[in-house]
Amino acid sequence: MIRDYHSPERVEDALALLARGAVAVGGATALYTAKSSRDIELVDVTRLGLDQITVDKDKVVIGAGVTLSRLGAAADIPGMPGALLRKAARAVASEPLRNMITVAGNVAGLNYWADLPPVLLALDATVEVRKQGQAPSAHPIAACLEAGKHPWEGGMIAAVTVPLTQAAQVFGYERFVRTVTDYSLATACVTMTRDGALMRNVHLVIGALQARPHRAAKAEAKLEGKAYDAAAVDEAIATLGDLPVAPNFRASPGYRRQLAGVLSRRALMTAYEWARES
Amino acid sequence: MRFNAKINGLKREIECAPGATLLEVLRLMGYKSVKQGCDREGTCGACTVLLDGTPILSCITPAPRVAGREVTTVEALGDPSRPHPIQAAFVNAGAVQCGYCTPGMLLSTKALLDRNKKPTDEQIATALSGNLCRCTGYVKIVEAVRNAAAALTEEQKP
Repeated sequence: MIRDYHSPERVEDALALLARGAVAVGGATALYTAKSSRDIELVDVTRLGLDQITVDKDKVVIGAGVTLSRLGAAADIPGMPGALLRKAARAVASEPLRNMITVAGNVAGLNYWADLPPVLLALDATVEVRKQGQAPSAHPIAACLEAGKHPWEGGMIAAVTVPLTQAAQVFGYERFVRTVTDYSLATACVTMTRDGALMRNVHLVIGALQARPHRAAKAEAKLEGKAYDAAAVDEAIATLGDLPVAPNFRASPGYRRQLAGVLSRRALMTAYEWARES
Repeated sequence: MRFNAKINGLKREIECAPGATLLEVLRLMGYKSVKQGCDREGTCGACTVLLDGTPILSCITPAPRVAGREVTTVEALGDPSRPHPIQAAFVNAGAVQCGYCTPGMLLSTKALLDRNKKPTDEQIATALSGNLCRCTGYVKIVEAVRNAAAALTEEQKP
């Protein structure tokens, strides 16, 4: 039951409401499907001016209220992170939903099928949190995607920051859906830095298999520092055979686990092909 | 709650419960072109309206969110005696069968053609990706959008 709805225009006013237990609402796309019987007071955070994308030399700061449509069209974000963020944002759901879903909502209201969080994890993003009477704090996305108490509780996400480097970064991003607007059955996102022929700083993130995206650490270890070749990829993909999969009605766990392997292989190949051409 | 918003160009005072959806409010105000389909899931697009010119789903939009903003429904486009070129294109192409999805389709089309005078079929499909039609198979709808784009371009020639 929604007992009140506030639309503050100053961050301080929003923080004061959130500190007393009100709930932040951004895109609101999950507001009415949440089966909560709790009496809640909502704080609309879409009028706080947090809808800007700011590109600096070493990072891009994406305001909490940036919609996925806006992110998908953000041609000003340079390099690999820009290309990956645009590709992932454009792949999400349908156009009207992309016009509503916000970057912060995709993190705070994490759904297992969400397409942006795996990408943010692969990009080593950090989440900026604001709370009343406290200095802003930054939290690694990995910690924010874990279960349990989240750093923004009692406050709000203000921005998501993605680092930009001069290194030769490449990515591969693959998702599999039954129809273009359906939820992902599995996603795989690879980022790495090219060091001559060698793969460095390899991140392989699997999404939509479990409640939250996760890095495939064993697979990453098999690839780190090695030259890309079929044997190295086979060895890495083989480690995905024991991935835990949360069951859902869309496809069997075995199918989705195998799919994750296929998508990971494709993502690695895409990243490598990009590295070879660049 | 009480707030003002512009609906189809007219300033309106709206009174509703804090948890009311925009769909509920618009239908109670008489804007019956806005349809309830999936209802509160945002998957079918029958409830599509334009908020400041951008397509959104009114069944999952809190009504108070539109305070001070402009909402457009199909009632603003035209009527049977004076249809908007997009409406005429849908009728002429046979893009309407049961008609339930049509208001959402028309508004998604309007938003697309407002920013892109000559969209490709791929851009049309992307723009209509949130609007489900269970009757037509989309072929005639895409044709209607193409024809509407041509008609609007022709209309704007000096």
